[in-house]
Amino acid sequence: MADMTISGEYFRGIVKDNPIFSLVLGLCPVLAVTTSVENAIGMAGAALFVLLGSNVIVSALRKQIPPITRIPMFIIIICTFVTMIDMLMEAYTPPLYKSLGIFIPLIVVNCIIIGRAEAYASKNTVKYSIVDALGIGTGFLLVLVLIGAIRELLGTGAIVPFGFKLISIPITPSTFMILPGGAFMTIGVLMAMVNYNRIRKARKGGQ
Amino acid sequence: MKKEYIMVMVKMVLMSVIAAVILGGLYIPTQEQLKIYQEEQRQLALVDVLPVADHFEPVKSGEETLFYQAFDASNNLVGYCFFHDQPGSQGTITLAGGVDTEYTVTGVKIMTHAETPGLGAKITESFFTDQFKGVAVSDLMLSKNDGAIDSITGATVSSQAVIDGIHVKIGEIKAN
Repeated sequence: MADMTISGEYFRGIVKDNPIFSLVLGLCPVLAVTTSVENAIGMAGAALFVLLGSNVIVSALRKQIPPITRIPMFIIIICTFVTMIDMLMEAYTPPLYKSLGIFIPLIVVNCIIIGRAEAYASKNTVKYSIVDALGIGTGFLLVLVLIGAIRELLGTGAIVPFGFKLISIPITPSTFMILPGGAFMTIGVLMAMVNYNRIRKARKGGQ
Repeated sequence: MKKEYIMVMVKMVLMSVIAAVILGGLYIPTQEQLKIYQEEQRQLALVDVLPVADHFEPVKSGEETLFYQAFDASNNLVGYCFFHDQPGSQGTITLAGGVDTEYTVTGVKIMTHAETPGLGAKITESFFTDQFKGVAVSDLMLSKNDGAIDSITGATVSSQAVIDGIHVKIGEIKAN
């Protein structure tokens, strides 16, 4: 534990412990809300809010939480933050709230959040729990935006987050990419690429 | 042993109370903001159902707004629009509707409902609500009753409720 550094812990959340490709957690929202870059950013923001909040509180209270009842207590903490972001988004970002729909309350059961609470925040200082939340949150954001960009670009021919037309390509849009099948295909291909890379590195390292 | 369990219970209750207080506190400003947004949406809905209108004047009975008179830019009366809560098949349907001065429907929009997803919930879709545009009050019935509105398959009660709601409001407008 003595060789933890802030930047080390932060980048660990993006690469080595990437929530989607390494920990393979939280796949449900990744598949469901990546129909556009805008939705992806919205979900990543909401999840980061909850992850930060829960990591901070769980870490701050880690000596007070009796092990026998830690899961219910984590859930109360996570639910409180999810309800907060739910109320805030409903009031201040109504169109995004409507797009994300039921997936905002479903952040409660997002395994990434309770996973980090159990595996990290309950065993580390508040400072490093914050860094971990930021790192994992960034990893989550990057994957969400990547998949969202692929699906939106191939599914509608353009990427238009929050009204700004980022890029548009002259192709016939494929509605398949917007549907669940497209989500599974995209994540399957990306996962295969990540795993291939991992195996190749392991082979090189072995030699 | 017993003391441990009591401490655990105390901590759980304390944590729950703090969470409830925080959420209760956050509820107040967010509900305020939500009301503002919903009011904006209602204003937009009025224009949606009566596009030629420029501004609206509420017609009230006491504190309650019954309906709105719609005027164009030169202050001519072009029709009426309203919000109405009508019992549907699963709950209350809140609809926005507009009629012109001859009581021909200019538009219908479903604001909220609790109808069955996949069946009654289809009343929100434009294939259903677009049917109402240009329908005279004498034709404002389901097609099985010789009217102009095709009911949604498997959702006759919901479809009828929308029609009834408009009739109720037209009656109110005529009476005022």
